[in-house]
Amino acid sequence: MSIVKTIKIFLTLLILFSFTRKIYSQYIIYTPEGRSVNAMVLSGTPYHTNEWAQYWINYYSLDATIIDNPTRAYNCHGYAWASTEGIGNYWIQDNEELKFFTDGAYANDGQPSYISTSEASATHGCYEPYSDHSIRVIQNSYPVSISGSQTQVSKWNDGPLVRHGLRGDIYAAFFEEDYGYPVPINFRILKTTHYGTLSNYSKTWVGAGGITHSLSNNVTVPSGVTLTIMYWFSGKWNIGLIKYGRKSADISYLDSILFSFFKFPFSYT
Amino acid sequence: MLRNSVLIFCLFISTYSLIAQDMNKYKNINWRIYHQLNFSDYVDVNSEEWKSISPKEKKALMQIPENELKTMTTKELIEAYINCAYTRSFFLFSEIDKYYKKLYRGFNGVNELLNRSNAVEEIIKYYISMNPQDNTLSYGGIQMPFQIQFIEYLIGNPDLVQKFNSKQLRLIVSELVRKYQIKTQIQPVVIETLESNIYALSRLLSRNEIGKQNVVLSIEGINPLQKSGRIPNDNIASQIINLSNDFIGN
Repeated sequence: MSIVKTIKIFLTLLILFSFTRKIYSQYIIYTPEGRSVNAMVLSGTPYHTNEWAQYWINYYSLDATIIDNPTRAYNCHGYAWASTEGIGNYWIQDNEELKFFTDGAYANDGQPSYISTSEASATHGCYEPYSDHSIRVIQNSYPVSISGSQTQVSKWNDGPLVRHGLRGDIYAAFFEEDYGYPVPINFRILKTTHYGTLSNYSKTWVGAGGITHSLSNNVTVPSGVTLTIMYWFSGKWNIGLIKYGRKSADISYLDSILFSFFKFPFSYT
Repeated sequence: MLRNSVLIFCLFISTYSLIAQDMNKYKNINWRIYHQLNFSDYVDVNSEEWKSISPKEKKALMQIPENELKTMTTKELIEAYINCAYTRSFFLFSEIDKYYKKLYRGFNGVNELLNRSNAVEEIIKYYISMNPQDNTLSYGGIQMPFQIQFIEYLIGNPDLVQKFNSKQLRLIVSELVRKYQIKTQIQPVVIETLESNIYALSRLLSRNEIGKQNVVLSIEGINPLQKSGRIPNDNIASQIINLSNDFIGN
């Protein structure tokens, strides 16, 4: 190898290591019933600008308002299924979000973490397989307050956070301009009733925004399974008991009084 | 009863005529205007007329009229692509293939461009002429760094990647590497502007006849890059640049 070539390679590597950096990391997160979901944490400046998002709002006369600036911290799926559920800020690629409502095989009752529901009672919505977008349906002023007919909120990829009406986002407009009819929406709501012996996958009971979980009789957590209870606790707990198989009889359950001593999120194995 | 029916019919006809009239008004505006960020200088976006037009009709307003489409030069089509609103929609998609799909469905200028026999030749020429240090805006108001990125994403388009002959392949790989190096010399370095170079290079190097497909596909993290068109890390970038230099004989 000639000296010139060696110097060239050295300089190329120097430039690369000087100016590039790692701008994403891969993670595994879990659905409430314990199914793994591939997610990423991105850094860097978002490509999207409010100006460009506003262009589409004006062009398609969307019933929409930009309510927060662009960020790469999360995309639409990350916002709907992780950020607003208190799991953390993640970038979730298309189709990975489907796992949040197709994880029935991971549950003891065969029902997925997010069950099918009507628009009126939904907390979430997904446009798959027709288009790739996830939305939050605003309930009890969460994750943001409603404004007029703008009852939904969604993140536009690495662009801004936008509050909008039903099908008032750019993804619904793109679908309609191509197909001539409104995009079908798969409306979902978080499953909040639990009973029996949970399955052998660790659980995370989420529900930020004032959602209450309820137990039908006692719930048993199998030995070795971690149950993490997130921010939903509201004192309506004592409908049933949670038993932890691995613990001895005298501490085999935790009642509502004991729970009140814990700061949430709370994990127990 | 008959009188009511006649009244309803007349009402329908007059409403239809009004809408048709409105549409003619909007059709008379040059299609380029609709792609521009400042299109609302030409259209009252708060008017009921504008709001009543369906998304499908609004999409039609953005299309290049057939007679003009066939007479436009390939260079003009490249510029139409750069300034196209659907090109900017890259930022709305997590997966680049869905963006390409939207682009084809959204804008007839792109389909025409890719069907031109001299498309590759003209795209290479246009790309070489672009200067990352230039601050010129395109006629649609797009800044040079984005103009360059849009061309790089066009080069990495699976439909175009296969059209480069071996001489053109060397030329374009060489230019992508050169532009990458120039971008890293502009202070402050904007990491995101490098993503399109790495993406396009990874697609070109994946062509069978180059013989580096397996090496490219074995790079850790290459799958998210090729799926999204972005988010390379330093490991991917350095390996892709090294493979490119190896290919062009640097």
